[in-house]
Parts: sequence; structure tokens; C-alpha cells
Amino acid sequence: MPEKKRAVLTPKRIFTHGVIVKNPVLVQVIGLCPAVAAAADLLSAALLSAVLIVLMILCECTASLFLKKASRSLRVGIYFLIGLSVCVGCTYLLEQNLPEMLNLVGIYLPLMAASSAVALRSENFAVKKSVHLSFLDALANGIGTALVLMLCGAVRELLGSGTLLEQKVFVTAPLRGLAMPFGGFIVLGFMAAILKRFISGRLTQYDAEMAFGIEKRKKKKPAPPAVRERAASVQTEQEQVSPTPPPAEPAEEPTQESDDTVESHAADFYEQASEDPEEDLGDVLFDAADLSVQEELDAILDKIGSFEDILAAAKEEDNA
Amino acid sequence: MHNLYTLFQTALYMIFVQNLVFSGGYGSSEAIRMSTKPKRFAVFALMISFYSTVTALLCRLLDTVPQISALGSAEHIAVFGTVLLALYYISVLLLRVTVHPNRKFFNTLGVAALNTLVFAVPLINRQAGFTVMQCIGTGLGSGLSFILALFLVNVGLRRLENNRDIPPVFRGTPAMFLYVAMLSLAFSGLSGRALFA
Repeated sequence: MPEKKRAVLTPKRIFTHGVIVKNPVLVQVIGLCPAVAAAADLLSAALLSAVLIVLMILCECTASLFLKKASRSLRVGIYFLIGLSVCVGCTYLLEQNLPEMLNLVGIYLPLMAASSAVALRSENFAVKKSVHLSFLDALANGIGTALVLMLCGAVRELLGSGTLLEQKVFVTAPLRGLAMPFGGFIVLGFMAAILKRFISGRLTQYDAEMAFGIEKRKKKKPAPPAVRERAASVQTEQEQVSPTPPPAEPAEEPTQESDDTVESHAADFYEQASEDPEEDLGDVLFDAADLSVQEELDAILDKIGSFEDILAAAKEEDNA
Repeated sequence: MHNLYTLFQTALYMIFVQNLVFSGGYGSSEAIRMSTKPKRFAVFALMISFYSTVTALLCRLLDTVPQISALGSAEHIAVFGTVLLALYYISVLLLRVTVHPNRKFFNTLGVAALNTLVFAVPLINRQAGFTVMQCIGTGLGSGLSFILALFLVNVGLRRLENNRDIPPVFRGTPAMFLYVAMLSLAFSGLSGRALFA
């Protein structure tokens, strides 16, 4: 069996992932609060984006430099503390110098301290990688989020208020509702569809369907050694009984991928499986509650049981 | 009796009229992500409700101290954030010493405690000038509104997943965003705002 190829994290790859393929807001569905609620105009979106980029860089670099050996409970609190320090500082500066800007962003600026985008990227990437790569990842994800926030803010301001950077563009706002949170979700929905179309059309080495799937794929846990041995012995027995291999199931869609593309898919899948926040802070966090080890073992044994039925049926056929 | 009435009234207001997840977008990423894991609803929702209620209460009580209530916006944010962080670390410490849950439980706790929904509650309370009972009501209400959001999103996502009529480009996350937008629009209607006037 060929060994899985681990994708090399080049700056280009990190940026492609952070900005497009695994865009934090549109693909990973994290950090939605500022996008749907606060980014109702371009100015607020730009301010929040700047804060978020600084926050991401600070948190990811700190995580990579100092927090690799700390427990996750401790790290999560430290991300919040860093965020709080930055947000309090920004709020203080705005309060003193630009109070109208502070009114514009409201409580959404301090809420950036608790942004899930910052904590998830730090946990899924920075604590496992070098500070150089973490910095690039923070920059890429920050830019990816900022682009979505600013585009969302611009569209919502233009259609929701009829202005752009507070300059009148339309006499009356065409879609006033867009300035409200539901407008943010609508704009994000269309932006996600456009991004999906772009990835499936231009970046064919990535699986857009998988990336934009609601239920992300789950990491298969390896079966316990005893079960694996039993499965292998049953497999061998079956092969001895019926040496001709069973007919392969026809592929749903014929693919014409080169070996390189297949390798790239495998490498990408491997990398996604190890990095996917859905896996780490979603599945990995809660999987224990879903399926106990015993249940999992039973499920595997059930499978093997049905395999034995096939074996028995094959034997009967031979006898007949 | 009057206090209890105020508490429930505020909680109901936060659940149906001012649902923080749909009307404010607070904690929407957590709600969407958790809605795909129905078996974990109860634990996660319980944690969120606990943190939002206790943080709201503690912050309101601290705000009764004249020195703290005289502080500016930035200082208030620092105080409220510190309260939330302290509450999180104390709960982690207590659980470690007493119940010894597994590592994954603590990870869940981190996501449930330190998110935009929980942190928004004391800030909203301060802006609105709520009383202590109202603050407890908002804390409780926001936790319950999160549960409601989880259920609504989960039901929708299951239908979206099996719906073959959705154009391919909108399948998955784009359709989910639009579905949440419809829910948000419905809650905006309940809030009585004029959308298209």
C-alpha cells in the first residue's frame, strides 16, 4: 500500500488555503458574528478586519512560541486574554480619539476577543507548527476573513443604505433589510456560492463539494488490533475459498485524473483531516459522547459478522 | 413574585423577540457548527446557559460597586472579560479537582464559555441598564435562545442535506447560510422592526 504523501506547507499553499479554499468565514463557518452583525458598512468592516488580523497574528505567534506544552483549557483562556487586551486597547483609543467610530462598531469590537476564528486557528494550526508558518497562516486567514468582511460590508452598505464609505450612491436604498443581520447571512450565502463555483471551476485539485459540505467528513478511527487481526483472518479465509476477486462496484462517475492529481487529493485530504477545525474542536471535542469504544467495537464486529455470512454463502455455492 | 415575573419576562423576551443568535448574530458560528451534532446539544447548551447566566449576574453585581460603575467603556470591557475568564478558569479547576472529566469535556467547556454570545450578555445588560433580575433573565434567556437556535438550525440542515432540488452550487454551506438568514428574518419580524419601510 503506498504511503500517504504529506502536503508541503509552502507560503503559496497556506495563502491559497487561508484566503480561498478554507476561507474561515465562508468555508469553515467560523467568526460569523462580525460578518453578519457588525459588517453592515465598509468602514466598520475595515476596522474590525484590521483588529482581527492583529489579533490572529498575536494569538497564533504566541501559541506557536510559548503554548505548545500548555493544556488546551489553559491555552483557550490565554487566547481570550490576548484578545481582550487588544480589544480593550483599541476601544480605549477610539473612545479617546474617534468616539463616532466606536459608536459605529458598538459592542462588536470587544466581542472580537472571543472570536472563534482566532481560537480555532491557533488551536488547529499554531500549536502544531513553527512560528514562521503560524505567522503566515494567521496573515492568510486574517486576510481571508477581512476580504469577506469588507466585501460583505460594502455590498450591505451599498444596497442597504444606498451609500459607500458614507458617500451617497443611490437616492433611496434598494434593499434596506440587508443592513440587518439576516442581510448579512444572505450576502454570505451568495458569496459562499460564488466561492464554491470558483473553486470547482478554477481550483479543480480541491473538492468543493467536500469543503462546502454541511456535515464534514469524519476521521475514521482505526479498529483495535484484535479486531483487525480477526478481520484479516476472515479476509484470508474468504480469499482461499473463492480465489476469484468479487466484481468491483462500478464507479459512479468515471474520473480521468492523472496520478499526480490523485496524489494531490490524497495529500490534501490527509492535511485537511489533520487540520480541519470541525474535526478538532467539533468532532474530536465531542466524539467521546457520541460513540463509546464498546459500541464502536460492536459495530465493527457486526460488520465482520456479515462478512462471515458472505463467506458461508460462498461455501454453500461451492458445495452446490 | 414581581422579581420572578421580571426574570421570566426578560428571559422570554431574549428567546423570542431578541434572540441573540438570529437577531444579533452572537454565537452564530457555534450554533451552526454544533447543530450538526445533536447528541451534544444538551451538554453544550447547559454549559452556555450556565456561563451566560452566571457571568451576567456577576457583572451586574460588580457594576453596583460605585468605583466600577464609574469606569469608562474600555475599563468595563476589561472588567467583564476578566470576570468571564476567571469564571472559566475557576470552573475548570473545580471540575478537575472534583469530577475529573476527560480532556474532551474541557475542550467543550472552553468553546461554551469563551464565545461571543456569553461575552455579549453582560455588555448588552450594561447598555440596556438592566436590573439584577433582568440580568439573570437575559443570561438564562440567551442560553435558552441558543438551544432554540440549535434545534431550528439542526432541523433545517437535515432537510437541506436531503434536498436534491437545491442547485449544485448552493448545496452545503451556501444553502445553510440562506436558511439561517430566513430564520433570522423571521426573528427580526418578531422584534417589530420595520424592514422595508
